Amino acid sequence: MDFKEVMNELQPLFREVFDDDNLVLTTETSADNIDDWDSLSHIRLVVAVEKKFGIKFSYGELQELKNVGEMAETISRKLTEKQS
Amino acid sequence: MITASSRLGLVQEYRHRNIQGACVDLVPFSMKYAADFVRIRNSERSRYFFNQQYKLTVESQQVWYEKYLHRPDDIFWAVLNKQQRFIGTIRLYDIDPEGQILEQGSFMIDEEVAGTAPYAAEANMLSMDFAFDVLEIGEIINRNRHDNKVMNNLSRKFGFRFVRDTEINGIPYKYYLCNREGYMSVRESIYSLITYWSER
Repeated sequence: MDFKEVMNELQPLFREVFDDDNLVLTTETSADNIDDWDSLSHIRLVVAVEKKFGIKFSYGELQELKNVGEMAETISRKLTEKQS
Repeated sequence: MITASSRLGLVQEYRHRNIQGACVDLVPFSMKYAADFVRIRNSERSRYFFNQQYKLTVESQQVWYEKYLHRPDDIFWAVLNKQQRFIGTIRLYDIDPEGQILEQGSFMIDEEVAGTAPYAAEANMLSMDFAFDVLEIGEIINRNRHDNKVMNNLSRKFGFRFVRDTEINGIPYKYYLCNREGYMSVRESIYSLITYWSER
């Protein structure tokens, strides 16, 4: 799954976690742009992403994620690694 | 129903006893954590949201700690991860011996690790479990700086209801209360999240 496809898959997932059907993701979307993004919703999001894509983020990867774009890149890379 | 003296006895007992969770442990604070505590509390973000006008030092924390040891109605925990690294604090204080109310505060998790596991969620859950199940407290007070989005969101998600706007040292704060019923209405979903995480 490439980066763009991952971004498309993340959109409905974010809308569900943050309970906002109008939420529109960009690569720069982060906790700074979403009012309801706190530590609990962050963990809910990570769990939802892991379940959706069948991956696990490492501690280091979670520390490094700065925005949705970086999350999508990491997911795409991990999916590629999984397939090879 | 426990008596006032039993309740204060439990406070003393748990000032010497760890509470173990799946991702964190609540450990009675001691001065061996003071350097890490001061480092995290003196971050720009912590100072802003704790409305802390000055930088803490290990020495100032020693003075505070010695006064704390003489208070019968206060439990201050260090939050440790499962590698026993100090990652934050949480506190229950002004614990009413009759069990009506107490206040939760001094809640912080090191920004460096906050997003890597449900540390904040579990530390909060463990302290509230203790308040409602062990101390049999009626209500918990929480006061957050008005613009502390993260903590205001977290308070609501843990069953706290907004009561009123208030002020501390000239800064607007939001005052919340949570009773057992409000907490139990949300606890299961939070517990499930933490359990999933601990087993991943």
